[in-house]
Amino acid sequence: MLFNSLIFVIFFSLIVLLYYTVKDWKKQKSILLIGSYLFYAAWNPPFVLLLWFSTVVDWIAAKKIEQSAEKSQKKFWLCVSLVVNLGFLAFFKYGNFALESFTGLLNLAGMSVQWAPLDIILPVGISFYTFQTLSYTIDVYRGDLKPSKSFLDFALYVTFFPQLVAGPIVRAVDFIPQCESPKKANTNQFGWGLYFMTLGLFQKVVLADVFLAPAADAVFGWSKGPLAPLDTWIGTLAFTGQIFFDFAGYSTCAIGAALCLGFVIPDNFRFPYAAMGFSNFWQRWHISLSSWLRDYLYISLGGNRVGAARTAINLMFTMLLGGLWHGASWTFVAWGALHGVYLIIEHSLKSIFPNINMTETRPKRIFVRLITFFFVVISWVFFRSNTFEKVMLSFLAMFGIIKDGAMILPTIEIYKVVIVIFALVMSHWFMRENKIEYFVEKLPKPLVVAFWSFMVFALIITQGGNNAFIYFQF
Amino acid sequence: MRSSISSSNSIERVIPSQPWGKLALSSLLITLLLTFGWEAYWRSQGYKPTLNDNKDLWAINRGKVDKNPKRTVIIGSSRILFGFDLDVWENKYNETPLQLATVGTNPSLYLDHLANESQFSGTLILGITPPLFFVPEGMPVDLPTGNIKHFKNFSPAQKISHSLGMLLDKNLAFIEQEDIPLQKMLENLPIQNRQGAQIGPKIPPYFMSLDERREGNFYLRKGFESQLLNRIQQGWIPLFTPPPPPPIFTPEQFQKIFADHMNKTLEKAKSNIQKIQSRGGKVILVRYPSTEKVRELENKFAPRQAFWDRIANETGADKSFHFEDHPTLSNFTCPEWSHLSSEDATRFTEELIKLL
Repeated sequence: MLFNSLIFVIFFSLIVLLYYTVKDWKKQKSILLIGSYLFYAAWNPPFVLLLWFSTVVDWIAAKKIEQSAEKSQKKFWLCVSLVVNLGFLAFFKYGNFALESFTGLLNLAGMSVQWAPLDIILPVGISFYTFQTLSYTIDVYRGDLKPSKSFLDFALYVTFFPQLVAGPIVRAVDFIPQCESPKKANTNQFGWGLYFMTLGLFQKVVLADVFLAPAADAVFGWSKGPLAPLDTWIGTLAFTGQIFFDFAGYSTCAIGAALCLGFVIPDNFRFPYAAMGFSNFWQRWHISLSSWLRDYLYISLGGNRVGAARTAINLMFTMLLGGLWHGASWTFVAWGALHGVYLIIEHSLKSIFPNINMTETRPKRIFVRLITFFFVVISWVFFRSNTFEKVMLSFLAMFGIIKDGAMILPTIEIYKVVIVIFALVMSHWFMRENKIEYFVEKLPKPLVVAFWSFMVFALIITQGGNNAFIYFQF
Repeated sequence: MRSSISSSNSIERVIPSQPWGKLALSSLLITLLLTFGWEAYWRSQGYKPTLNDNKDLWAINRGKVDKNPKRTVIIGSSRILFGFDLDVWENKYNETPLQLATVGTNPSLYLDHLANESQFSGTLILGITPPLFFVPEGMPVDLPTGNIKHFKNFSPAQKISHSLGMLLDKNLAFIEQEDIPLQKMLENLPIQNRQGAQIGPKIPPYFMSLDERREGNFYLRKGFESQLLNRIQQGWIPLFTPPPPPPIFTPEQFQKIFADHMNKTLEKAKSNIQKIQSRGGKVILVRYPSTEKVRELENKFAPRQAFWDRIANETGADKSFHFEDHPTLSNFTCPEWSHLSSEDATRFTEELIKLL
């Protein structure tokens, strides 16, 4: 079920009505759980079985880890959780990719091998709920978390519909304690939740889908040779905005929907296009994934406490896997690798020049923000292109090596992208040290009403196309 | 709490101190006023509520083929969508055909889909707009490909959303897909494109009313008839004029490539028609009327002998009808040169049935 669909409006209204009509907390949680399964089943009902299986396995594994006295037994149950969860992920998401890569290798070695793609449907949001449940068993294994005493609470943690299919990836320690006592949003919390949902939908439906997607789709969907430098830059900038508004829009909707039900889930974005440096970028972009990778992968590998060379390897490995998490394609791996290189260079520069402060003066800050934004934009070419040939052609055009490529964008699309991207970057710079809550608090009431009405009206006149959120595919 | 097991340093969420209940109600009121105003404005411009021809409606109707593979199915582009009166057929044969034709599309993709991805064994009425039948890429191909993909992945949530959406479509005039959505209004802004930009001609708006069976009727908003006719007519001229061959090919090379493409398309159509026939099905080809400038352009760039005659003779269809061959089918005037009016659609269907 998409947030930007009529069925979601009805579904959410019914859930809220039932949730607040029933007075028993256990029943309220049951309503949320059943609603969450319906929400998921609305895509493809059989895949709910996967969710159930994953939930039961992790519930049992965590209990067994807690009860086991022997380290080896604890390890065994952790491995059960890892194998089941990562096994599902590997089969459904990476099965075809692995086969294709393997046959490609054989062909490179001179053996002529053909492969027929397996007919596998990717369960929506599998990467998100796999990482979420894994964090639970790993935390229990590490002794950082006691297993949940209530299966209902745990199942709701795995399945909570606002963030089930596209994050944020919530940690058990942040969510399960909220299930222990009744939750009820007061009028202000409910209203702010609705405002957040509106803001998220506006970002997705109006800004991402109407203003930016046409240029990005036209440029990255073009397969008849190189494009003109301007068109390639505009398409890349369009995707830079589209991916942000699409994904941050989903997270904002999820946070708003949870708030309406009295739950709090963490922020996933903090004005990332105002980042100063790449470490800073990853503290602001898809925070729940980057912190997951940091805590369960990078730190497990030794983090930055194992010498410069190993730190660089750890960083690169983490970012490669982060890239692969986003999609079963070598272009995503390359995107991750590029960010790995950025981070390694940044770390190296900081250790070579420890006394240089690049944020002490305004011109320096502006320079660092611009440089960071520039390299992040460049990296999106890998993320959005289907092939490395497309990546290469894009870079040749962007850096003026090919100047006479095709001009395919209507002028209106260029205007739309330039206006929205300028506004996006400026708003991120302006809000860099701020939070939207504090900003809205200071706004005059008529302005809040005007902006809210404007967003809803824009959503209505857009009429929607029920386009899926980009991150559903991950 | 160790920060390493929380994705965030603080799970607290600040609620801005504003009277959110009052703000929500005020915003709702203003939005309602704006929406009513918007609806009133578009109604004053002659728009009226009608269903939108979207992927959901196509998928719902396509699904009916599998329930009864012996039903009559119509595929093609806008000419047969606007020009086939389902009621006339129903009165004669006591069966409503499934209307799967889609505006501006290459119907050979639907033919391929029905032949190979269904057990269809009924009568297939295939509307032929000769140039479209051989178009290799772009909207004529994207749209049916998208519809077929949507049908295969049609989720329960999309089915329910579609039912709810139809309620809005039937009651609100501004829920319209040709002119009024925000993205269309932006696209229609009079902004000149760059010189040398490879941007295809704009597809003229398809003004139609549509019902749940996907019966489309061409209509022009009252008071705006001549203005709209002119807009649509002017849209056809660049659209029916093929672009020059890509500069990387000589005219001879391009002619050879296109001839090969035509041969392959015809062979594939023949094989697909044979598959349907082998299951007991029948395929009937119909060439709908076009008039004036559009007919001139078709005669120039898609002459009958090289296009229609080959389709009719080489695909092995059971029957084929070109409007020019039958006096009862040729006595029509298309108001915007390319489609029949709804009154003429009824008459044309009656005459076509007499010939079957």
